[in-house]
Amino acid sequence: MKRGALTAFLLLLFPVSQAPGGTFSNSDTTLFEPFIVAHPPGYEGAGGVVQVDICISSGSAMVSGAVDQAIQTWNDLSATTSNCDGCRLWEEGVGDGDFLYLNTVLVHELGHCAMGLGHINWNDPSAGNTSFTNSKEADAIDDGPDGVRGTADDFPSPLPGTRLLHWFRISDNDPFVIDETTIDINTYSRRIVDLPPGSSWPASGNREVGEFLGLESTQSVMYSRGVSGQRFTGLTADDVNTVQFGMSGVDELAGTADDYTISLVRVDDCASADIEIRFESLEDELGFCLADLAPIPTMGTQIHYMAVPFPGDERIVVAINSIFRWDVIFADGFESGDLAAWTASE
Amino acid sequence: MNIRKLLGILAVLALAISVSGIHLPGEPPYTEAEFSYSTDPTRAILHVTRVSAMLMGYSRSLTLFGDGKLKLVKEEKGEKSHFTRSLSQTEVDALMRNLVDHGLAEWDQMALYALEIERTGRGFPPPSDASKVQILIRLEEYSRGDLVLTDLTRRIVPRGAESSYARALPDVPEYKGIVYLNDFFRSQLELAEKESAR
Repeated sequence: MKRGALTAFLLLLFPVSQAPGGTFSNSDTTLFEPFIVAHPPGYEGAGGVVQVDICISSGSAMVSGAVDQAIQTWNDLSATTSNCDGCRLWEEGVGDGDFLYLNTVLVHELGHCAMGLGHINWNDPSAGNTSFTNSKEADAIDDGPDGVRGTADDFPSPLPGTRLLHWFRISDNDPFVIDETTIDINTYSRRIVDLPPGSSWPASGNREVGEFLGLESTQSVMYSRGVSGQRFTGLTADDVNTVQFGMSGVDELAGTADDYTISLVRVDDCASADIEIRFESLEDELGFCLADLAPIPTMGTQIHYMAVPFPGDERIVVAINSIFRWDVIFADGFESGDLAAWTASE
Repeated sequence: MNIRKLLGILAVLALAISVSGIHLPGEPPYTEAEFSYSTDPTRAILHVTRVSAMLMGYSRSLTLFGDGKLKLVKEEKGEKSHFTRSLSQTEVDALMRNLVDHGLAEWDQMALYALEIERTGRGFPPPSDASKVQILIRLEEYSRGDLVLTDLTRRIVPRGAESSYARALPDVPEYKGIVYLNDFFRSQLELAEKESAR
């Protein structure tokens, strides 16, 4: 292709984007604005309840228990601590558990596809995966004086120059604190100038940051790594806050007419669903979320998008790799003697 | 309508006017490209790596040398299994021809973004958590129309949902080329594992 100049001009006009205390989906991809706010499918700027219908593709009914748990986790939207058994950071080597918890991976993928969240940490195909707070275009990262990657004293080089993708609480830059703070543009930011005194970069919700802050086994479900034996039992404040920021609507102010709540509903018929969960043979992926983003008309710079199916697809897709060893039997209640899911799938 | 949006529409219109389909007017198709590759048994002409985005210690790699030797590596839980296969010269020719016919020797990610924007109004986002793939294609000579390249090394970093991109834009050969290469990689690894188990 020989379109260099025109292409460059086009891309200046349409910067590509993916990934909010957390980040929003696709804030780290080139195609969207870096300060994109991704909303659930069906949110077009009007307030109220946004219902997201989720189906399981035919032949995958045995995963219904895990899907229902994941849906419940997001519907509860309740922040907790000590939510992660067996969490392991990218810097901590290969995990050694026997099997993967399907519910844990589903919570993560629905975080992307249904709730519009991106990863809290920085994944760069060329630099590798890291627990550094999600950023873009840094030449180097520094863990700061405390030596803990992802804490508030980290900083990237160049600064300024590195793009910040991660949102944070203006009052304390603490991804784990649970209180009654109303999350909106007055309390939540992605601007370096809004960081509280003593912070050089947003803290992100990885397990080691939690330990540094005195919390055991606490990690955002949107950390990018899956590990055998890793199991999430709930959401962190960071996960909830980021969703709540989205729920403040396109005006980014809580308590106004465009605020919404999210209701994930499992439906039997995929024909009417927004998201389809497929259990299929992939290669080395644990699972993935395939969705496109459509702009929500607003005044000014376009930063609000809603998840939509990929062009040519009928629904947003969450694909889960069937070749891995999952705990699906236990998630279905088999262990407790509840065979309802198994009966339904026969 | 803000000025940014207006400028964007104008740019898209300009692109639509100046570009017809995948090629600039008058350009020969990729299938008319001519190329050669090294037959040196020590020189890699194709290298593909896949690294799991969420799992540490899960990767795949394929390296094809000029004489048809194929080295494959499958890593699971940090343990690597190595396999070697051999392709005939006819098979290597067919493979490289297929990659060239799909435009992979001229892969231009920015141009593909521009095309997606032109057709759909926005570029395609990558899937979250898809494996990270890198492809290197090395040719001694490559020519298509006025374009003449020697010692070409083309690095491609696909976004990971090329089969979906190919469905959305079925006339764009590059996406089909990635799907073809993915299928080739998968089939070769399966064959190698079966051969190793005998």
